[in-house]
Amino acid sequence: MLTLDPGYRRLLQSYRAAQLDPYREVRLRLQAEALAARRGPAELQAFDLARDVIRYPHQEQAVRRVLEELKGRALLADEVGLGKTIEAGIILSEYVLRGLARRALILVPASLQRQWRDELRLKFGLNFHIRRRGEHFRGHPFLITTLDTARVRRNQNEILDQNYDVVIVDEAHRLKNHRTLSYGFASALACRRLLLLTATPVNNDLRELYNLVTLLRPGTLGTFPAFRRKFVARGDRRIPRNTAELSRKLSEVMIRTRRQDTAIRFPARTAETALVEPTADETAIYADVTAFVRQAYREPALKSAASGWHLVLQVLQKEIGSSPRAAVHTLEKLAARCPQRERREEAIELAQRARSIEASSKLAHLIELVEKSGDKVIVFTQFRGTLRHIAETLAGRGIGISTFLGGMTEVQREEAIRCFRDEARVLISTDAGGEGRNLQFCRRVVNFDLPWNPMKLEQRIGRVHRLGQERDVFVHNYSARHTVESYVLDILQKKLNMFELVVGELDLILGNYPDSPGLEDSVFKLWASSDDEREIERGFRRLGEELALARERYEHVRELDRLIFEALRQGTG
Amino acid sequence: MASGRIAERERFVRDFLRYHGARLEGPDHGAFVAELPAALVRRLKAPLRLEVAFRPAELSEHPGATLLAPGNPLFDRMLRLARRGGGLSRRYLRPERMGEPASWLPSAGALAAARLGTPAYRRRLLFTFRIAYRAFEGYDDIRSVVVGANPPSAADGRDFFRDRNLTEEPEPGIDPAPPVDVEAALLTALAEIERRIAPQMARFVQRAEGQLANETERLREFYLAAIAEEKTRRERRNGPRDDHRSEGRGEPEVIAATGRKLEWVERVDRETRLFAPRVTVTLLGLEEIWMPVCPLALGTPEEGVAAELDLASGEITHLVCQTCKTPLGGVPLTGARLSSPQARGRVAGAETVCYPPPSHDSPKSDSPKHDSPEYDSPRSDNSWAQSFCPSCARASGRA
Repeated sequence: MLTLDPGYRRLLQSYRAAQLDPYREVRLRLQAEALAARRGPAELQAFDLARDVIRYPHQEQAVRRVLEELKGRALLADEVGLGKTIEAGIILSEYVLRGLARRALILVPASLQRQWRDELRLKFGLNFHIRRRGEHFRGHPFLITTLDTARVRRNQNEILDQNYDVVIVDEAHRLKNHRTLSYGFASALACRRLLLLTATPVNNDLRELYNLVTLLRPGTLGTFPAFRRKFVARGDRRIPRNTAELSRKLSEVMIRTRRQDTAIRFPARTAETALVEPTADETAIYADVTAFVRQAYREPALKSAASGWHLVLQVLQKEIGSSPRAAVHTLEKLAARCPQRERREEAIELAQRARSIEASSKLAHLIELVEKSGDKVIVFTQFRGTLRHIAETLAGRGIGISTFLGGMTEVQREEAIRCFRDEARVLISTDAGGEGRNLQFCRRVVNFDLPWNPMKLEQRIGRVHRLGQERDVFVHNYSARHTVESYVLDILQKKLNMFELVVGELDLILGNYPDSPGLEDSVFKLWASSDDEREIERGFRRLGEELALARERYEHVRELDRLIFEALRQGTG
Repeated sequence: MASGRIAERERFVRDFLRYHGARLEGPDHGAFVAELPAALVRRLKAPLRLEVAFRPAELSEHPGATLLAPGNPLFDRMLRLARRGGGLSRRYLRPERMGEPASWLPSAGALAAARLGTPAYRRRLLFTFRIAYRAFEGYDDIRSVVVGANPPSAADGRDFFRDRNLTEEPEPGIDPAPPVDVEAALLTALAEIERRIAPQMARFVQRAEGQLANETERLREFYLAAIAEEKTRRERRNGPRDDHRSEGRGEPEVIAATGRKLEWVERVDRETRLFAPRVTVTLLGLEEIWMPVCPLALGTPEEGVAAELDLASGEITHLVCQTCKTPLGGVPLTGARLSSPQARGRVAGAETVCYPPPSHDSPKSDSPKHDSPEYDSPRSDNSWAQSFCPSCARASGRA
């Protein structure tokens, strides 16, 4: 049992040859060895080193159970909004601090990669790398990628050759089906510790729960026929029976905390939409830029996605929805490089007009809001041009501002947040890089422009409406009539009830949407290829119905989960 | 506990940076700025002017600082670099107290009782090991063992007190030390380590094997049940098993059952590979330490105690009763013991202290009376010796 590492021979040889090392170097080495030593179970260290992490009892309890009882293989199935990501981060950080995690892999949906990276870096000081296309997996000990990327055969082989200390799968209900490539890949992973995160482990029937548990600890629930005979009600694959025993077995791998079991108060989220009446100049330039986009979009040389102009036109349409100032740069780019001469000339003229427009009806609304409400306000925009315009105008009126945008250094970002917390009334921020920062001291968010992707909108609101926020949150959405944004906002409000969702629910809803990464593309395609108002309305109605269906599916799943886990809880009670 | 670990981390970072020639600015505790030499900038991939913090609270005052903790690439690089360093050193300990006995012995009474011989130096080998326990979870234990190396002393009469490995110290230019059987010393150290960790290791192995057995049993049951189900399914479809008929036909159930078996073997193999209990001892460092010692005599040469005074720690070791020649081991020497006869019993503990009975019949030593002036005791009684020697005390019936 006790083996001596043969490396001792080299040391003894050096000793015999009197090849001594400097004493201070040896002392440093022994200090380093002591620090690098894996530590046994003791008190939790990660909380002491985490930044801006509130120590919630349910999270601490979950972390202890995973570390001490479940040996690092667990299904974290807390209800939405209870901070599963933070829980997983603490567990991971604890393993890293104890020297038990030197290689870790996090598999998340593409839209959450940056959020994970930023949260782990800012809260736990863990530097994860988001794998870029073509990069090797073995190069980075701490890696984030998507399940879809990882399961591709050539990537799969490379990953399966590695021994990971910890693997985390977010939105693990994607592994519910044992016949999929993803499931096969996950079950072949060589990892000591595996954390599966999902708020809805059961989407259709109990087989999915069985599959997830079997992935973590095969045999816990026996074979599937045995599981079905023993634990699934006859005639309804969704209803459990022998609930006490099933619940006991599940507790060997699963942790599920309900919101009502915690003392956490979830503040309300109130949304208010301001349908702004644009000025005549704004109306005219919006209409002209839209016409330009539609015409250019239909030209074969610009329409094809391969040409890259397709994306430029999409950005231009978004920019003009934000503010004329935001569109200037793209129009100038088109003026310089567009293959059609006619378009180039048009772009020059539009750019000049956009630059000259000073008055902004949205800005007038914003100033009124800031002056009326005594609260601090975060104003989000997607574009730097708009950000600068807002900043100049507010500063000109003597309102204290702080700005936060992509490309700032870490120190500048910290300073921007500090300035907003301690001095400024308004923080003007782009969407870039704000994840993981603690902004709960503010409760009023203004969406100066609206991203077409609801996930981006959710991420904005999520910066203040999150665990730790104690006051009700107000969201102000600005959009002008008959713009893309007004249609998008309409379906998000009416079909998705987006502003009444709990933190984290939108991810689950969009998970049911047939092609969520393509939502922005669908919106643009619909807008750019439609000729009249009725066609646009029809198109957005269809899109809204798809989203409504996704929401219905999610509600069905949520209800099913509630029923199953309620039955299991009563069984143990 | 956590603050202790953070302090440990901070001490290491400061030592590391200083050792590599960085200039540290700021207070002795908490966040600081270091100016790194170019070589270290390259090796650490760090900026020339590095600001570091150790506690999250320090970041509010130092927003640009890097929080150094495991998992942070910069800290991990420091650890890696330091761990690549050497593990072999030699130290000559300085005596805590030097000069005439009067300057370091606690009192005049003690001075009267003890006489010092010529200083000598005893070599000890300090082995530092990492003991890695690996099973479902793993943890490490860093332990050191000191082994007295033979020959026991090497007194060449020169200045052994210089710390030869400290760069700021001049090289004393001493002769090479006499050879030592380092392998034998390592074996002794390992035996000692094994003795010390035996209970812990037994508990660890028992727990880990129990867990592994449970896991393997669960897998066995799971796969056997799955294979049996495949068989039942086949029988339901084809009737009772007919090996001749089914051989080579590649029926889906047969293939599935075979697949299950392979999966099982592979899984158990993987679990065993990953989780079978292992305890590995790695020798991390070997330090040769030269301890300044001084022969010491208490009482008369025939009936007193011969001992060795560790000049570094002030402890008396290697005590031998001159009356019965019994080795008495090591006894910490306190001022109170030497100076106050009334306090002896209280301070030294009943098991080692006795007073000579009036009729104490001590075994006669064959050796002639020691007439060296070193041992010329101003005291005529042998109470020192008997106060330390339990066997003499037992013989006297006064224990």
